[in-house]
Order: sequence, then structure tokens, then C-alpha cells
Amino acid sequence: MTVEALSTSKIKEHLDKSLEFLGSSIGNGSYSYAIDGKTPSTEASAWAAIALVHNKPKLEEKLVAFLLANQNNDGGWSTGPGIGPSDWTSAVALLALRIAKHYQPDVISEKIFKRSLKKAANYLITSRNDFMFPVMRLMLLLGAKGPMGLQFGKGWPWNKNCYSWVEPTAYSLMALKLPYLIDDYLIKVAIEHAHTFLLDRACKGGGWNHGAFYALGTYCPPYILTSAEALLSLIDIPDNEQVKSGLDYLHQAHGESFSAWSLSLSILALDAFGYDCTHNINLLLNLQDKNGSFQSNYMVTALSILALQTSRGINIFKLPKDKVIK
Amino acid sequence: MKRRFFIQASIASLAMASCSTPPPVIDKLTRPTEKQKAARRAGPSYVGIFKAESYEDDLFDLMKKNLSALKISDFKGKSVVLKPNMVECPSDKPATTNPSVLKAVIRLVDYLGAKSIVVAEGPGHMRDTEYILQATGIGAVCKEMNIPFVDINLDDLTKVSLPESFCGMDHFYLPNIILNADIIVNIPKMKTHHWVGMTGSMKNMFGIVPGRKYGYPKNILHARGIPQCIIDLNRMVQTKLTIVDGIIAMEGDGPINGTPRHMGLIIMGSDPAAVDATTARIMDYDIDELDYIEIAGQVIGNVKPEEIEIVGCTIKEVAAQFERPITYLRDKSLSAKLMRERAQFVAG
Repeated sequence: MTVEALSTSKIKEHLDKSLEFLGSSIGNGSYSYAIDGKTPSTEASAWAAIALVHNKPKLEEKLVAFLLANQNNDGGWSTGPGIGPSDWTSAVALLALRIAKHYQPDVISEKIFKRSLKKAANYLITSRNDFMFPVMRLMLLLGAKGPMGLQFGKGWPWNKNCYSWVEPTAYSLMALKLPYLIDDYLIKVAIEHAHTFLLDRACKGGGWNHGAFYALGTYCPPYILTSAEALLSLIDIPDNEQVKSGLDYLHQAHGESFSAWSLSLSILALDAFGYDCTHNINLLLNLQDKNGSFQSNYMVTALSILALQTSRGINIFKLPKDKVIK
Repeated sequence: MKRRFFIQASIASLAMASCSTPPPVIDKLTRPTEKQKAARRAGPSYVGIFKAESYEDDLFDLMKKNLSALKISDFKGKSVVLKPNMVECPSDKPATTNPSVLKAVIRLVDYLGAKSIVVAEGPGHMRDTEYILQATGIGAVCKEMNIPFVDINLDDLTKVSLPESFCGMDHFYLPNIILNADIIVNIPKMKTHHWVGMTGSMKNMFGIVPGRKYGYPKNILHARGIPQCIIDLNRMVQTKLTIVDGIIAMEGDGPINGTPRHMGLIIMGSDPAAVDATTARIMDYDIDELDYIEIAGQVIGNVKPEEIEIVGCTIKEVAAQFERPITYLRDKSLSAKLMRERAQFVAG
């Protein structure tokens, strides 16, 4: 296959193959990450639920049931059932439930959905930690930038009691903003803090890496995956300069990645901001395995399905115009 | 490490606003208890230091012909996991194990009669392991040699208890690919490291910790103390052979942003503590500067010169004064001053 424009029917053929693969592999109603994995992954199952929402609602229903059954008492989710306390995967699980309820209202009863949403949102709000201990805050106040030194951004950690990083912050923002913003004061404040956090950490020249734009005298480069994730989480502020620079970086980096994971997120981000992604979609199609999967990984296959669906005009990350956050 | 320096370093690292990570715990490790010392390796250790000028050399032959002197385990019929260092892929920086070294080790383990060989790694910063596999050339070697690769960050997990830990956790969730292996071969890079001085065999075990559970860059381990976690991981999972890629090493601001340093060395041994102590000495570190290696000498293996039999070149023949990260200068007050200056650069 050449990197030329492909017909819609050709893309559909690839898309159907991936959907067929995902549909035939659901097993007990959840997915592991790797296709030869034995234990369920919250994240892989959540992305699969999102990928199936427009295509296989019956399967999606199973995944939603899995997510609901494995929500912890504190409202969060662990990386897999029984694997320790709630963590960053809570954001992706919440996103999946919200997307499911929005596009397939009958998949969860209103009462169960509301209860789950309330608990999960509460978990996300409380899982953020204060950036510094009081002594450290005082030191910064006295030694760094004065009172401005305390106006720091605050994102989300991978695990409770750790500090914030770009990716869990991006996932959490997606979960709170999509398919529309949760109308709650605390959530709006958390989003503001998280925006500051992400925008402060944009790399010189645009884009994001996992967290550090600068370390010990060196400017650190952006990555494709993290930039795409950060941009998807900042979809509601397209005119921001860091967002524009990030898009420039991502657009210029297109074709650089031979990874379906990076490519699919890159397609979703660029498409959500109105860029043409034909080139990247063609690259992605070339990475599909014979069985319809991508990278022998259920999550990457799900993300690739979402990316390929952009050619049909479907992108769950596109925020409805009337829901843009002011 | 002096308390004042620790506080200054902590302020500087926070003010850099780099990763929003907690300051690394770089104070002294607690002295090991008798129980912690009980599992320490007994008997002498053998470490080989061999010259290999370039990655074009016949590294397989070099490793094969020197193996018998190192008294390594029997690999016949064993399932073997090879663990390279694939932490990230900064361009033009030798941060990862060179694919040529990995290829030679694959051939070596196959030659030794392994039943199965898998390459496994859980990169520290980037979630997209496939991207790093491509960028580093390690993916191409796996493909060429028809060896499967397992992304440890996303592998299935099993809870492993950790009594008498140094890091304060009583268990870890570890990847099944590691737990089910008969033998783990560690293939680290010879590098400086800005939080623990140097990284070789024992620090490379951070890569067996799954990012899906512990975050990136293995965030909980940083919060619990890097030296403490290095020791605990090496107590829980024992490697049978370490082969250090010291052909092009990294000095300065390692483990990611340092500069290449040609050393032309392959360092091998079965005791990770002995291999690391030897590598550190080659890099001009004193063992008492490196807390985790000092403690490893009490709970993991041998670190004193008189306990280690060197095969091949002597340390003196190959030793070089590595440029240190600014966080690990011999002059601690200069370290603190430089970190403050760089912090102000960002703050301003």
C-alpha cells in the first residue's frame, strides 16, 4: 500500500477488521493490554468501550458493566481488579462511562450512572495533592518568586501522594470535559489549575513530554504521544499560544512515528483541531496486523479504531461548539 | 550527604518546576538489619572487564570466550529474559543499551542452550514503548533475531510480598514475564545518574517495575526513595548475569541528557553488586559516595575490592575520570551552587 489517499471503502475494510478483532476477543467482558495477556486492564477495557460505542453497543455494554463492577469504594479504579488502590486509570474509566452514557443512554440506568459519576468525579478532585509541604511553600515564597511563586499549576498524579505529570493530567481533563463539561464549581477550579499546569510545562518550540520542559540546564524535547494527549485535553482553548505551538509541533512531526499508539493519538488530536490527517491515516493502516489488531495490544487497537473513524467524521474528542468552556 | 546540601538540592529541584516530582530522597539509607543481610550472596564474585573498541567488534565471540572465567549459571533448558536499558530515546545521546550488544547477548544465551529467550523492558518516561523500540534499534534486533519483546509497563501483574523492605512498602506488583523467568540477564548501560551518581546493573532493575501500576517515571519509587527501591528490587528479583554496555558510555548529566564517552568496554559478572562497584570504580567514583552500592555490599553481594576477582583488564588500566552530573560533584557546595543557578534561570 502506498502513502496515497485511500478510498473510504478501503479504510472501512481496515476498520471493520479491527472491530471484528476486538469484538471476537472480549472474553469475560474485559480486555488485557497485550493480546496474549491473561488479566483485565481497566485502561484497555475503557478505551475499548469508547472505541465500540458507535459500532458494537452490545459489547460496549459488557465493558461498561466491567467498569461499574470494578469501581472502588473511593470512586476510583485500579489499573486492574484487585491490583492495589485507585490510580490514574480512574480518569480513563470515567471518560468511558461518560462517553457510553452520552452516545448510548440506555447502556446504564440514570441512577447508577449518576452515583458512579459523582463518586468518580469526587475521587478525581481529591486525588490531587498539594504541590509542596508547608515548609517548602514558605521557602519558595521567600526564596523564589515571592507570592507569585505560589500561583503554581496543579495537575493530576499517576498515583495518590505523588506529584503531577502531563499524562494523568491530560486523561483527567478529558474525563471532566468530555462529552461535555461537568457543571461543578470545584471541577471548574481543578480544570483551571490543570490548564495552568499543562501550559507551564509546554516544551520550548512546542509540544509536551511527560513532564519536564527543562531539567538541570537542559531543555527537554516533546514526544508525539504526550503532545497529542495534552492537546486533546486542551481542546477547548484552541487559541492559546502553547496549544498552537503544540499543534505546530505535532503537525510537523507527522509521519515521524512508526508506532500505532502515537499515530492514532496524533490523528485524533490533529483531526479534533481541524487538520487533515490523510497522510497519518495511511501510515496507520500500514501498521495493522493481519488479524486486524495494532501492536498486538487491545488498547492500541481501540485507539486505532478511534483514529480511523475520523475518516467518517467521528471524533469523540471534538467538543460540541455549544459546550465550549468559557 | 550533608543535610544542608540535601535541603538546597531539594529547593533547587522543586524550583526548577521541571517534572513537578517530589524531591528525590537522597539522604542516607538506613543501616540494614540482620534479617536484611541474611540473603546476601556468599563467596567471592568474578567480574570481567573486556576491551571492545566498537559496536562493530565481534561482541558475541568476546562474551563467549570469556564466560568460563566468570563462573555463571547453567542456562541449558532455561527460560531467559533479557533486560536491556531502554529508558528513553533522546537523539544523539547514548542513553540506552546499544542494539549490537543486545544482539550479541541473544546469540550468547542461545549458544548457552536457553529453552526460550524474551527481551523485556518497561521504559521509564515514555509510555509508547513501540516508539522507543523503533527509535533505539532494539525493536529491529528483536525482529531480526526472531525474539519476542514484552512491554513490562503493560504486562500482567502478580503481588509479591517484600518483608523487611528499605522503601517502606511491604509488597510490589511485578510483571509475570519477570516472575516466571528462570533466568534474568541484565544488560545495562554504563552511565552517570544525577540522583544516585551512577547507573549500571542494579538501577536498571527500575525497568522491571510496571508503569501501569507505579506511574512514569516509576513515580512511586522516586517518592519512596530511589536508593531504597534499588536495593529492594534487587533483593526481590535476582539476576544471574549482567553484561554492561560500556563501549560508548554516558558522562555528565546522565541518565538521559549526558554526553557520550568512549570507553570501549564490556563488563560482565553474575553478582550485580560486584559489577556495579567495579563499574563505579572505573568511572572514578568512591563506593562510599554511592549509598546504594555501599548498602548493596551488605545485603546483595560483594562490593569490596578484596571480595571481587577481576578478570580481563584491571580497573587501573581502563579507569577514566567521568564528568559528573552537577548534582553529584565531589565538591558538594559547588553542586548546590550550580543547582541554585540553574533553578534561578528557570524561575527568572
